Amino acid sequence: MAEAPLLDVRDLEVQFKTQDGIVQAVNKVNFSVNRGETLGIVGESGSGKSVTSLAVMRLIPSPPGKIAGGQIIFDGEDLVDFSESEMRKIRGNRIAMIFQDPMTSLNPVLRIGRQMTEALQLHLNMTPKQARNRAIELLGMVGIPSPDKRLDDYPHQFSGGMRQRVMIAMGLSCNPELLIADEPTTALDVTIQAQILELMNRLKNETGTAVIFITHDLGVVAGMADRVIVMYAGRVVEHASTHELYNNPRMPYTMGLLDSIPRLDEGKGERLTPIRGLPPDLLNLKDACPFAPRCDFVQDVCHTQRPPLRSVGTNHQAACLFDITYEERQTAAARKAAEEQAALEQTLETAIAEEAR
Amino acid sequence: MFGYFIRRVLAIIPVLVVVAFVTFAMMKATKGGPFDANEKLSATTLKALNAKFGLNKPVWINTEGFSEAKAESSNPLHWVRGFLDSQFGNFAINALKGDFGPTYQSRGSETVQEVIARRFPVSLRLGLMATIFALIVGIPLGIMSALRQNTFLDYLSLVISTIGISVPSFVVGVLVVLLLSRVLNIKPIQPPEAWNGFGRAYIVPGIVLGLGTMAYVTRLTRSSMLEVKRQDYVRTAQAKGIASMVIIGRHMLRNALIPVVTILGPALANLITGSFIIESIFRVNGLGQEFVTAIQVRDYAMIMGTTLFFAALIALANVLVDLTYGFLDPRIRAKK
Repeated sequence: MAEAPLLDVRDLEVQFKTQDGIVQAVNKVNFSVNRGETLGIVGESGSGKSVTSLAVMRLIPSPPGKIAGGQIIFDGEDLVDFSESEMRKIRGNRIAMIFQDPMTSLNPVLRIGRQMTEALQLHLNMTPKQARNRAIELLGMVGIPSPDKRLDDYPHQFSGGMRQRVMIAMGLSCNPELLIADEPTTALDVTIQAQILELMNRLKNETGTAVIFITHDLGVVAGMADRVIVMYAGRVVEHASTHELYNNPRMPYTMGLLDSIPRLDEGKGERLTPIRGLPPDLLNLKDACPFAPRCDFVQDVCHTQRPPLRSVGTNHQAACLFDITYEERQTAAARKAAEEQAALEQTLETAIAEEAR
Repeated sequence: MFGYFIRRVLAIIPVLVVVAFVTFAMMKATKGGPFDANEKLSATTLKALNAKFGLNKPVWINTEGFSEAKAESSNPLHWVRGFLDSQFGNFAINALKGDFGPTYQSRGSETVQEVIARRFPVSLRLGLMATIFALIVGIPLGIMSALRQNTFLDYLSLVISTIGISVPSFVVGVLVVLLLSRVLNIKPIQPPEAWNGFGRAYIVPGIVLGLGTMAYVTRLTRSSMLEVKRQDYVRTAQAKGIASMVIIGRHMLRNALIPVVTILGPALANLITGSFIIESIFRVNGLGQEFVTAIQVRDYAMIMGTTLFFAALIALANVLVDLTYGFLDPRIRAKK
């Protein structure tokens, strides 16, 4: 890796003050994004993935939240030290963001055109006329028919998928070097999801923008990202190239996520394997593996020691004390199922014997 | 849009009919009459006066014409004719022509519509003054306390608006008169001619009248701004790098003011029609005072005229607000 990464997040910590105490939403998170690369951030609700992305934009609502430590180095400069007005020159210009819910992310009382041109006029010093032409061009680029007319429409006149296209066009309007997409397809139905993902892939290749793609859907990230980090309870628990992560997950949490994806080649009537239990309370995290209460491979040591993120292969890190592989988990699961079956048969037999007597 | 406006204006008519019926019934159910106030009138004078104002007729149905022939009473046409020749019928017919009749207090020398035309502009100016005050103080105060939530400024505005809502205007009015006259040595009561034209005289009573509405507008703007502040589109605007003052002005305010505009119509109508107490305290010769006096002396024509006038005013204000509402919010515009 000769070239310095575009974005280098080091030991990022984000805290929220609540009535019950301080919530450590993001805890010592490290990752980097190279120019033109797509990084996937995966995790369930509350794992800190959205907060991480908002922290990069310095948009953590403060109070109650604040960046408590770490560095966010973007193109050689630490964004944590930037003033609000310096940050405004970055936002929407060099780092843009697309949000989860296109139904609520556009201002209902302003025309699409107005919402698109304001960033263009601000960052690229375009005249209203130039900005309008550029907006038309952008809307066409994201596949909105008759863009010159649609520019004068209000958000409620667009469908959800179309609104997300508008959001994408808005995000890309100033040719950002980094685009953060925070669950851009979660609020859309599956066919529209596919269209939006295809669009994003195409635009990513055309513009060469680096992308941070945040999602809870491993299936979505598979087709988008070059590398993936998996977050759990505010920490990175696994980090690998997309191919490596899917073929050789090393963290039981990642395995659990992979197992809970419905598969087309699965036999009929087979049940999905969810991860049991709930994510931990971020208020009082002990020095233990946060995933331990939900893990199938839990040992005593898991409750007393927090596993560090350690290298488990080439460009592959996982936060687990043991070298558990996916195959082991599969056999373990099979064994467990067999044991349960045997136990069930046992009880049945004794019951029948009882009956006979 | 125009069709919608016409539909809404036409919908006012049934409202006015009901208001007229109910008011007339309540007015007639109230004991006493217009001519039994001070001096005892002779029977002949009373009879003449009653005849002059049409009070000798039955209130709802005049059965005079068909009392002798029993069969005729089943003819609906007679009932209609009887209705039209009653006190209410006569009033309704004249009212449709725009004539509410002579006021009883003036003994017939001045009509109700003349009194309204003379007195209403004063109440209108006072109400406008109060509304303007409520808006230019209430909206900025509300915005400020929302942006500085849970700071000293926010609490200060909370104290001001709580006082504004909970202390009745007659208390504030009297206190202000006291303050002006005793402490500041300013004459709080203006001479009658001061009310002609929109002058300085309106400032003090206007502020006192608008205090409650100002407080309400403050609270509403504050909660509405807080709501809007949390909206996703505000975060989108922030992510675009827009300066926070521009976000407030362009993205938040228009959304936040929609609820404020909603209450503005009724509030304006209320301030214009409900200024009676302030009018008495500050000796403003507006329509509110006239209205209350009319009820006290059973000036039937004046009661009916002003009630209907006020009712129409309130209904119209609501229609206008709904139109403004659509102007602010394109989603509502689309549904019409």
